[in-house]
Amino acid sequence: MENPSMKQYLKNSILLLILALGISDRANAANLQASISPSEGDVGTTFQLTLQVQGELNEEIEFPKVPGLTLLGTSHSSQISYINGRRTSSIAFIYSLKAEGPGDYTVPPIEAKINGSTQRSNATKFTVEKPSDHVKVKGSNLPGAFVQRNYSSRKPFVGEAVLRTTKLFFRIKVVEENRSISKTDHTRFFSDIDKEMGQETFSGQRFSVLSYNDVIVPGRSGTLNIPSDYVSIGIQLQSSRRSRGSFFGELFDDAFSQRTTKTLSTKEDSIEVQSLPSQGKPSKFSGLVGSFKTTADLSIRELKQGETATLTIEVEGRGLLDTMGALPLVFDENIKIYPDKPVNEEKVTKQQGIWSKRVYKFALVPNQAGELDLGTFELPVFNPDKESYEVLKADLGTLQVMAAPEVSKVVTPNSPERSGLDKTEVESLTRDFLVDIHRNFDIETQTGLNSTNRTWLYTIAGLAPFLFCLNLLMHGFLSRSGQPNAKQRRSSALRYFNLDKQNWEAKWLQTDLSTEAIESYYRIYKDFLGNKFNTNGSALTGREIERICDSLALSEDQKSNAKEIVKSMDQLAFSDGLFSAEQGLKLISKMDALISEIDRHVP
Amino acid sequence: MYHKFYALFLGLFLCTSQVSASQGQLELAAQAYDKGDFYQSVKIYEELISEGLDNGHVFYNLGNAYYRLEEPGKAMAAYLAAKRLLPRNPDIKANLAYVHGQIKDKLEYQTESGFLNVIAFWQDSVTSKEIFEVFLFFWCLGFLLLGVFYWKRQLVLLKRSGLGMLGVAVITFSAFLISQNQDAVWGAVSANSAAVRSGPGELNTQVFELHRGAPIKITEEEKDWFLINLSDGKKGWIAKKQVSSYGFKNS
Repeated sequence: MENPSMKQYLKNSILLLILALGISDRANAANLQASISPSEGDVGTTFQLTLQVQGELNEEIEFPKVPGLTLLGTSHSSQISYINGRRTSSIAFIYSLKAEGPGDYTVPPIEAKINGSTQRSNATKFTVEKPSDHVKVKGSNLPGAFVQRNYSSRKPFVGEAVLRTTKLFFRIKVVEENRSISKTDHTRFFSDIDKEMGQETFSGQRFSVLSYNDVIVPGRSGTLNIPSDYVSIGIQLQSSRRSRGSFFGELFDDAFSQRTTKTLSTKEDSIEVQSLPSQGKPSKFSGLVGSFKTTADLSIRELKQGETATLTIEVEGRGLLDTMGALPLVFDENIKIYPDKPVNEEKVTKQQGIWSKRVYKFALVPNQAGELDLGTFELPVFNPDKESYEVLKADLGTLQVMAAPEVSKVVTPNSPERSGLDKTEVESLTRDFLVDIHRNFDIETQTGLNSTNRTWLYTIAGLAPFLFCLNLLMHGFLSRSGQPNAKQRRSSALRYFNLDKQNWEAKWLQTDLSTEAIESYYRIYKDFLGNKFNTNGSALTGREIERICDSLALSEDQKSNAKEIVKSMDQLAFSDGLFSAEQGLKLISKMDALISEIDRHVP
Repeated sequence: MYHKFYALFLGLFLCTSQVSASQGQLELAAQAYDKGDFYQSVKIYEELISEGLDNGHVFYNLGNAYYRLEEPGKAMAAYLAAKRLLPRNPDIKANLAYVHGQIKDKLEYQTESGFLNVIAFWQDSVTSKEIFEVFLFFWCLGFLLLGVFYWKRQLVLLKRSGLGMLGVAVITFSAFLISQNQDAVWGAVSANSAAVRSGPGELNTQVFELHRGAPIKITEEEKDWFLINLSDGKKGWIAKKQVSSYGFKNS
């Protein structure tokens, strides 16, 4: 160390080390890393992109727009730590993303200003696979769940409402479902119809069917390609651990089962949209397509000069009316017309597709006495049912206008003086706008919760649990007095078993032999033993069943059968393994053989 | 024994007479209204209400009669009372909206936003009585199904449905309790203008002023003063004589 060049070398090395550490520290201080999970999934999958920011973030991060990707939400967590007195901070932003369709997606590098300089993350890629249209069931050719889509018309006209029905068929336990719909260009879309639950037979098998109905209205002619819809379903897999026999047991069994999510997809399809025929098109046709009717009503037919009558024109029917503009009503110049804002009402129903109603109101004020003919209101529409144009007509009738009485200028609190109206006019307008008093009603109904009916309602509410308790007491008393004795139970055990078996077959024979079916059969078997040996069958343990069988003079084969049944059921109850249909049938036949043997020994 | 029957018969007869008398009064009020004698019409309706008649149609008719008398504040109060009993009636909605459109203060008569009101979104379209009747239906049906289940144990669906019904009944009863709590008294300012003060008394500072017809929610009362809430979130005390309301606490 005494060598000066050696000293210089060491000095330089330490300086370089400090510099290198400093550089590496600076490099660690500002860092941006992106990762995605999972990297593969189907259309219903939510992908989570995690952006790890090391250092002080100076401004908000803007997530880039990626076509076909929807940003569902963002969350973040931050961490600040002190290492050797140095403060380091990191933030993790988690972006939840959903893809609109299958394909390879790339989220480009995300930029952020960290510690005063702009940093770029790495690009992230993930793949979205096209989901299948069905879910398979082990040991069965028929699918457990699948989706189908159909249309009320495959060749609609432009502007005609088409009912689109997507059906989810399932025979497995589906605990939740969610449908995502892909929008189609140049099409209006209405999905206010409640989904419906029902049952249908497919390939000889009963399926539960959930139908989603919505209405599409094509906006232009030609081939309309409709992309797939996706239905995500949550499937409940039965766990082997089940609580049995308790009053609330069956209600809370769901808490012991597993859940998995699958996404099903309908096939892409298309409909041919026809353009409206040019032949026979009325000159004033404004583009209304549907099956409509129109009515007109005048509030009064006889009035004095200067008074107001309200003309109401209603157009209603199947189809869309919201594109209908103002009605250009033209009357005699002696009638002033004051149009009100039209009111539109729309309902989307399974039966009618879209039902619309549009109400136009006009205040008519005649300023000359005499009979005024209002003529006919006409509205040309295209009716897709008849595939032709038609003109809807409503007769407006006539107005009998009498000469006005002499009126004097008066001042009312509603400031007619300012508006320059006289009292007669003000009153007549007011009467039109204020709905008249109610005349025919029963004063005993439509009342509030007053003391009289409160007492009655509270009494009924109290009576219900009281009667229930009374019912329980009576049931307890009668069941104790009417309970069969041990001998009756023993002699009737086989008869009860056969009845239970019939019910079991009615419930389970049409379906695959599931774990639940075998467990149900085992309960019947235990009930039989309970009846035979005057005990509570459902509470019998495997050990007790073995002991009972050992105590009887059964053949060795049957004794070993009894043990095998107990062992198999224990396996079923305490392990996750599911039985195949063949194993289940074998087990059931063993139980049947044992029951007939026991019935022979204990008649 | 005969005395009991006689008393029962007399009671029923008196009840029926009372109803027909009220029905007769209503016809007289409607006739007075048609003739343009709105004072007489108002008088009859007010008498019926003071006798304890709590009927939505009567409040509605009273609102119309008040409006004809150019008393939009009192009309507003009557319509609000009618709305409490017949929340879905289109005539009440129409006339209420019409009168509301004419008042100076742009205040709403619907319940204001807030967490409880978001949960109780239905409270403007159903009455407490209707909610209680729904509760009663599910409550009784739930116990009935469970009762039958005890006799037919194999019908497990009965047990599930019964428990489900009782669950719905509990939810509905909670809704009823919320509704009772939220069923605040709505009224309207009947004076041309009314000072709203920071406390119940003339010596308290005036915080703002309301005009005829302004809808107000009455939350408390103290002697001659009401504590009111407005739809824009303001609060204050107003003299009872300047307010018209038909609810649990009549002015």
